[in-house]
Amino acid sequence: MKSVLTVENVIKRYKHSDKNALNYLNLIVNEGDIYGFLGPNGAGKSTTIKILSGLISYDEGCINIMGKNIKEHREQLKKSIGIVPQDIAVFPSLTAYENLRIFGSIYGIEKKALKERIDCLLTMFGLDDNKKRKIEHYSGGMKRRINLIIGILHKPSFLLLDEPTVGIDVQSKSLIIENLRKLNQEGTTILYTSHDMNEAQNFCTKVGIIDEGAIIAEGSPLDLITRSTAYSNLESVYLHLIGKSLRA
Amino acid sequence: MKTFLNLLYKDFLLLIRDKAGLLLLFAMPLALVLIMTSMQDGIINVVTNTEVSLLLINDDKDSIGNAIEKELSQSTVFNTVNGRELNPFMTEDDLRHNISKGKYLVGIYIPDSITQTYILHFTHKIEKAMMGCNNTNNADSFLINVYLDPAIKPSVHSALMSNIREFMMKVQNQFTLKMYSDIIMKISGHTIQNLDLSQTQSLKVNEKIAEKANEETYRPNAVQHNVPAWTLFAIFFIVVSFSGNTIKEREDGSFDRLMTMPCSFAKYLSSKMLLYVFVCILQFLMVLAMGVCLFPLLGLDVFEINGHFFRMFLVVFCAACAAIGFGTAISTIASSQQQAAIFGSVSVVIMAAIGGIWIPTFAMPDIFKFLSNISPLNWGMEASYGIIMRDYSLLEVLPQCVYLLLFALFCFGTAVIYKKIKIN
Repeated sequence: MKSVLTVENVIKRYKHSDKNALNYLNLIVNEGDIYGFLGPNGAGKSTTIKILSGLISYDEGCINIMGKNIKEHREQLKKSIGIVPQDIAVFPSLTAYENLRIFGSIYGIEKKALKERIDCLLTMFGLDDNKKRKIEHYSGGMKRRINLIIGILHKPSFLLLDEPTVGIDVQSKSLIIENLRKLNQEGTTILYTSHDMNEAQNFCTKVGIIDEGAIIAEGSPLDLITRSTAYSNLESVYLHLIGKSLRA
Repeated sequence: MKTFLNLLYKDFLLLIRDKAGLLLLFAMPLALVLIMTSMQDGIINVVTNTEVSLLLINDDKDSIGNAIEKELSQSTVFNTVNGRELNPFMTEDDLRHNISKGKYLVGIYIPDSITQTYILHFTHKIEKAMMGCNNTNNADSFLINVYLDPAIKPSVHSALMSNIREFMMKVQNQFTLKMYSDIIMKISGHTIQNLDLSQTQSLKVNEKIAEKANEETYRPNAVQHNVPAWTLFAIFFIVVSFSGNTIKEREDGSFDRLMTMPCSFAKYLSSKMLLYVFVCILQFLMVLAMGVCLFPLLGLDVFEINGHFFRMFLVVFCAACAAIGFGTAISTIASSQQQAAIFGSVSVVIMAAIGGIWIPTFAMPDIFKFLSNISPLNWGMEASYGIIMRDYSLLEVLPQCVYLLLFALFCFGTAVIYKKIKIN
């Protein structure tokens, strides 16, 4: 199967830290995967997402997305990657439609096609009636949905999702997961981080558990669960591997 | 280009939706110019126009007292009120009380029999002189008490006392000349008709401003100082709004999101810069319109740009670039909106203070005069003064414009280097 993302022996050091944030990280995400990137706080998930987004650099190793090195082809890759950050990264004083129009135009989508795409996605995510409302007046769930729509406006081949369902109600969560699944079926490969093990177990085709900057277990949720009779679900696998002690 | 235009549209929408920010950007400079000009113009009026309220008690009721009263009532500097007309029993203590309470700015008490005492004393002196005796006692004085409002500023105090002394000298000269003419008449038997030398000021001081050979030249006034001064202050104060908005985008993650899209840092920054340069120019045009159209209606002097609009426009443009460069550096280096707001506003106030926005640089101690050379606001002020009052050509304001642009480049360079270091 063709790989969309390959991360080889990547090391990332932060100036004021003794430990490597990423310590020889190796990761492969294949085309069509919904890859769950799981781990405790401070394990290296956000650092990985930031590096893949091009927001920060890495010190050693090699990262390719769709066969292209991200350091050399950063600008070119930006058009093929969709990023949904954990923060609601929108302009709160603008309406949903204005936000989508601005972000969509920056991706270079033609005016007519962009309008159609915006209308389609707003309907798909149940925000059509609120498109002329300022984001600052949206509920938490609506903000999460608009945050996600911005990341998929340009129909990316590879979508990076950093905890896309954190802090929202069951209905919004279900709608987001359902639509992400549809998107995946249409050909978008997804790398997704979450602390919700139940959600990851049901949603992901493959998961990788990261701790202290390196992958410690990888496979399909079912594969990981069936590795031991002691495991009843993904959460028990996770707790066994990571431990129950609190992290930073 | 399309990305740039979209970013510009985004920044425009964000700007017009921020009502408090708009108020700071546009209402503040207008209010500052209007208030400061009116206040400074008012202070000047206190000294030069008929605005000084004066309470007078004339207990002399003779030649000297009446002459002083007449001169003061005819004066264009003082608005004289006769204390005895207000209260026939008003005493010197009552007059002092009125001044100390701030009801009048100046009080003058002319004591009883001052004319008679003066005549006796003067005649005695002349007679002694004619008899060949020496006038050894030169310390003779006849006290007329002047009371001043205790809250009066030192500069106004000096100007008022100077005016009052001038009046007294005038009255004394008139009176002395009259006495001399009476004595000469007695000795020679000739009558000197209407000798009033006091009205003849032969030695005149002709005040001229050292300006270029130009018919349309101007003296600096409150309007000509305050319009460019507060426009420059407002232009530089834009760093608070500019850096605040930039950091807000960074804090809410929208900046990072834009950086993950096909949008470079240079494009992101240049759209913001262009919009804020436009805001600065709009600020200048609004203040200019106020100086030209509104000030005359409020009784203030009209702001005369002396036909040099484009030279002034160039200075404003360069100052705007410098301010936005400074804002960019602050927004890149500061880690929070609060940090940027505090550092931005305090640094602009300091640059304004040493740059001669409040106090002209010539009135500063030497150390501050030297320090003013490093304030971008001073470069802007020097160029503005040059254009408005010294009729500077484009070439003559060019050095200040170049300093402002170099300052802008230095700030942009700092921001870009800092950003690169941060990414790596």
